[in-house]
Amino acid sequence: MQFEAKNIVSGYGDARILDGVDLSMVDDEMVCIIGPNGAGKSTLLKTIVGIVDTWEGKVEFAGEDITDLPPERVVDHGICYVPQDDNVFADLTIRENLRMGAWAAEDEAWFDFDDRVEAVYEQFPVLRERLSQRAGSLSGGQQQMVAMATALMLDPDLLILDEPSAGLAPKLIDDVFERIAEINDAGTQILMVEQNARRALRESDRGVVLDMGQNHIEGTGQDLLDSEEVTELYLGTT
Amino acid sequence: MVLDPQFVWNGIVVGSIISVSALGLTLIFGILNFINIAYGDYMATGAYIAFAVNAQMGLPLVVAIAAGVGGMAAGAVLVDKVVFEHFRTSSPVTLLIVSIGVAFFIRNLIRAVWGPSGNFYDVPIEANPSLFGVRYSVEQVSIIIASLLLLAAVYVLLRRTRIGIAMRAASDDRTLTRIRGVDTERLVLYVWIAGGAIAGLGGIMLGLDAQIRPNMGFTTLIPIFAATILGGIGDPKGAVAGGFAIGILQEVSVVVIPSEYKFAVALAALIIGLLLRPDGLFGEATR
Ligand SMILES: Nc1ncnc2c1ncn2[C@@H]1O[C@H](COP(=O)(O)OP(=O)(O)OP(=O)(O)O)[C@@H](O)[C@H]1O
Ligand SMILES: [Mg+2]
Repeated sequence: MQFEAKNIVSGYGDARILDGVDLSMVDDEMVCIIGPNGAGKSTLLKTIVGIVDTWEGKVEFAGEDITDLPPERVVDHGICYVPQDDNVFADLTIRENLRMGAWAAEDEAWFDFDDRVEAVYEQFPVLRERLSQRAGSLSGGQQQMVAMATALMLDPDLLILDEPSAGLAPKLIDDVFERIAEINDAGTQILMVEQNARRALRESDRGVVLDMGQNHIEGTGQDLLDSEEVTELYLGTT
Repeated sequence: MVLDPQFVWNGIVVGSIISVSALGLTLIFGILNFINIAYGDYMATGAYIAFAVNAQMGLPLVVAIAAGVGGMAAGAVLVDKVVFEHFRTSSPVTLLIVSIGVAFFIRNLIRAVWGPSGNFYDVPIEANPSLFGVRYSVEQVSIIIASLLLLAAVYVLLRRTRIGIAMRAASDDRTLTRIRGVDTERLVLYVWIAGGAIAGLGGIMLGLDAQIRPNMGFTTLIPIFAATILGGIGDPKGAVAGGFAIGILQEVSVVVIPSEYKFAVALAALIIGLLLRPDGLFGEATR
């Protein structure tokens, strides 16, 4: 579905972090945002989902204006978000976390919690044996799986992921990227921020470089990987 | 030294009251993240509403209890709308200070309406029966049963219902709860209703066990805080365990220290508890 963020300006208190960012996505696309630490990548995602107020600009999804909706209403537009840190309820069990993921749909007649849990277990089999375990007692990789599974409970049209591979062991990184590719193949549009830039660009349809609160270079994942400028400035260490 | 079973029994009664009260306080803290000093005066308000219905209007105690509990649930929501709601984004310290103001206001309102002296509920006075050398009253047995029922009900609410799970989620991470689609202001409303009702019940129990006085709740705050903090603030299970521990310790202590100093036991338990287990009885890991 058409996603369009135009000239986004936002920040915290007096600090202007995003300085006119544009971002657009079309049907079933997977788009990756890369950029140095502190560039405002997380801030952009938080502004889109309503955790950070939009100072200027406009966000539209599937033809509807979602600018400045509070986070609890953004979900109603088929957008689910996994934050960079603190993305599970540590005190709740895995099943309870999934229950929270289903909150917005649980009253709907078409929604069947058990069916949906079953579908999510297919994608994340490790969770099945750990149903009643506290999410806080899981390893970082398992918590990331719980976070993604929770965000998938509503079968969103757009899934927004902030650094899904951060802090994971190399083998788990492969695992996470595989899951993301599967989710995208199944028809969910994905917008993600990644530090693991080379890997993420290889998997994505399109990449956007964000630096100092503005978007710089944009192109297909391969274009960015081939670009000398991008390689030199943004892919140096990865 | 032989432990007199009478003191243990008294401790269980007092422990029931403290557990219930601490549970209400900790539920409110969990979501709103501030220590509500006015909580003690919510308890007194519940007790006085029940007193008005029972002793002044002459209606049966059950009706009075329902009125006190329901009245205080509504009262807690009202105080939130009038005062606390305007301070949602303020720091916990600001809120704590605001709640001290609310506490004074409520206590003086009670004094103005019902006067400063002690009152009693209109319950039949009977000679207390005794069992195995322990004297007990019908009120005491009712207090224990009512608190066990309430604790069970809150457990089911928090573990089995969707709203209760969302309350636990919000006390864990409010922003993430909103991201999942929960209108947390709605949850705050439910928490004030539950917390206010529980405060009202705690106050009525206190009045049944002892006397109804304007500062009855305020002076009980120390053992309630001790229970809440010993149990790990925001942790309902800890508040209940802490409540029984403090209640029993406090009543049994009269064997060795004069009974007018028994509140010092709660204070000492609070300080020692904080020094030894800053995370509360159950710590982080087993919540
Ligand atoms: N809650 C906050 N309050 C104030 N400033 C913040 C807050 N969160 C982030 N910032 C500041 O905003 C700027 C952008 O932060 P942001 O988290 O968006 O960067 P990022 O691109 O996601 O970086 P990283 O790669 O480290 O995750 C940084 O200078 C940061 O210090
Ligand atoms: Mg970030």
